Amino acid sequence: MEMLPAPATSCANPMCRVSADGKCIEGLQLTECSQYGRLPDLSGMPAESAMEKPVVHLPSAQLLSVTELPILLRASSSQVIAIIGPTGSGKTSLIAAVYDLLQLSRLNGATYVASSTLHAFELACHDARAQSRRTTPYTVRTRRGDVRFYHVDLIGGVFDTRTTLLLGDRAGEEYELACDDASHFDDFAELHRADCLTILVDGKKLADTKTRHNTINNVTLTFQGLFERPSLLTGRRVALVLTKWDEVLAVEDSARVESSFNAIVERMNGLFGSQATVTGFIVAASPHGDSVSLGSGVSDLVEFWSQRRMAMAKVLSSPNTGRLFDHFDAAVESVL
Amino acid sequence: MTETSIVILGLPASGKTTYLAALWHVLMSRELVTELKFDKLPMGDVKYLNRIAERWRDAYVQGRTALSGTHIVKLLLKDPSGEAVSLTFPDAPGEEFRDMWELRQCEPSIIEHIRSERVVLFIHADRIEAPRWVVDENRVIKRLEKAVDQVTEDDHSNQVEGESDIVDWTPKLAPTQVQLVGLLQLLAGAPLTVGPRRLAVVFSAWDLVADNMLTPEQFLAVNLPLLDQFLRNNANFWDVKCYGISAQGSKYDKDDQVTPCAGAIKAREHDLPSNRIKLVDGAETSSDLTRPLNWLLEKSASK
Repeated sequence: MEMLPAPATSCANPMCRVSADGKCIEGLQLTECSQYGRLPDLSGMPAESAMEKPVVHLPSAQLLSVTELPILLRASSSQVIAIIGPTGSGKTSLIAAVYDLLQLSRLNGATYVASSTLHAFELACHDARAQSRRTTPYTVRTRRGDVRFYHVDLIGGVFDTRTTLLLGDRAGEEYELACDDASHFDDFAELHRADCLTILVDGKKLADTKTRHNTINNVTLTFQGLFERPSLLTGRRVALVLTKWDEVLAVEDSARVESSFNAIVERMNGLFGSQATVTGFIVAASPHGDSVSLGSGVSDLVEFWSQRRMAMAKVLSSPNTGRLFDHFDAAVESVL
Repeated sequence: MTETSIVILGLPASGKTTYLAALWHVLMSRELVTELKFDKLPMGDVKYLNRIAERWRDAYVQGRTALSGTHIVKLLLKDPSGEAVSLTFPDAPGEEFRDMWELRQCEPSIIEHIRSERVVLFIHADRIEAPRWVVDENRVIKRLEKAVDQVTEDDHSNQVEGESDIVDWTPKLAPTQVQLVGLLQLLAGAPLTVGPRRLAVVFSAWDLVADNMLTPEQFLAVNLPLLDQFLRNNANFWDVKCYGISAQGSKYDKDDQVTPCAGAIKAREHDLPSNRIKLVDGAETSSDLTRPLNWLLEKSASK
């Protein structure tokens, strides 16, 4: 009987899925792969499926939950950064930019030591990378649910010792709930432990005359809600970050937007300066064009994150605060 | 006799098997002076080594280790002082290591294979996937389109991103440096850690990148900056040395190749097949593929 030729999408490597995804498992061009187009030899393969083979499970590389943080916090000097802001304001893009600048050795001398969330970082970066086959950079929206943390240990530059950086990412919808009912901030575990609060202002919305006033009002609502909870704001460094600077530059009067943002910073310091000092930053984490480079302004923000908590003695001397670390453990227990 | 095992680590198609094939030829043929020398044949079957060395000598591409599974290689050698040394290392499919990164799991047998304090990490110098961004690709496309438009006057401004074009993330898409850092981090932590390790980083197919005029260490810093940072900042755990190796010297023929390729023809012209090999160690060049292994043996990584 005449042998039929192997289908063009087959591969002699039984592990290759070229018939499903059209790609060589080795990463080769199909014309380069010596196995492509040949039938696999399964005569020696056991009848049982691969799923039944025993495996040893290795540590995850996904986002960390609140309960997974204490062990990291105990291991070395650490900075917990709470990043909050409305949906689409660029929280995850900001985190992705920190990681991408590390990959390029462009974080002002800060260098990579370790991370237990590499898969999470890569997922956050993916849709702004060429491999996504997108034509416009994009960042997948953070799912609702409890805060999750990205983890990276850094040294060098402003990090004179090995420092664990934990970046809290919470869905914007929950921030929006808290703007309407500030008691929700009490449930934000990351706020209780944060060394630095980072509040994002959507540059694109601030630049749009239809949305700029509500954008400014939301910032005031956020600060008011935190101000009425002294344990969340007192003694903490606060970064107010204008995002999407590339999109701001695309509007006719970008100087007015920058001036408006600076006025917001000044107003927040005026209204709430008794509890915290607000510092303004302008970033373009994932620019869409060539007007600014990838991660513009992010290095300055990371330097701010690296600073030790000011007025730590003031916080510790306040009644009923206990040790900061115990405070976090209590916060963890309260949200479990 | 000192008995030592060495971990051979690398993603798929990183050049592990080609190195072993060339190494076995260099040792058996004794065409060159090498730091580690052939002593005697190991007990048991050397069929695997003989077969891969045959393909190497004939200038044929090696078959995928994925098809044949892990092979345990044992070499009985003499070190530079004349002491007998037994080296054991598994030639495991790169897919096993890729699964560790992607699926966060491995087979129990692999754990036994990676328990040594001495590691050789293979990286194909010409297949490093660096991170690339949409904005950078768009910039290139715009330049190309502009050049084409000047000739054809076509309008490309209304291209729309189709949903079917978008590729979802999988760990396999991570840049090479991230996958390698992820792999090494796994080896440094539970359940795979054995404490500090000595790591020989071997850039295979070095001939394809030699025009860069970089030393292997410089090549690591320029092309894999995250990995370079990781190794520098974890020097208490990883004692590192970099090599550039061209074990083939050129492209080899595939099994179904009808007309031999120029690289294979050139390779077969060498009277001594060992002369196809180039190893770069800092500023030094040789054909001695045993140098990385001898360095790994020189002193234990643990204190």
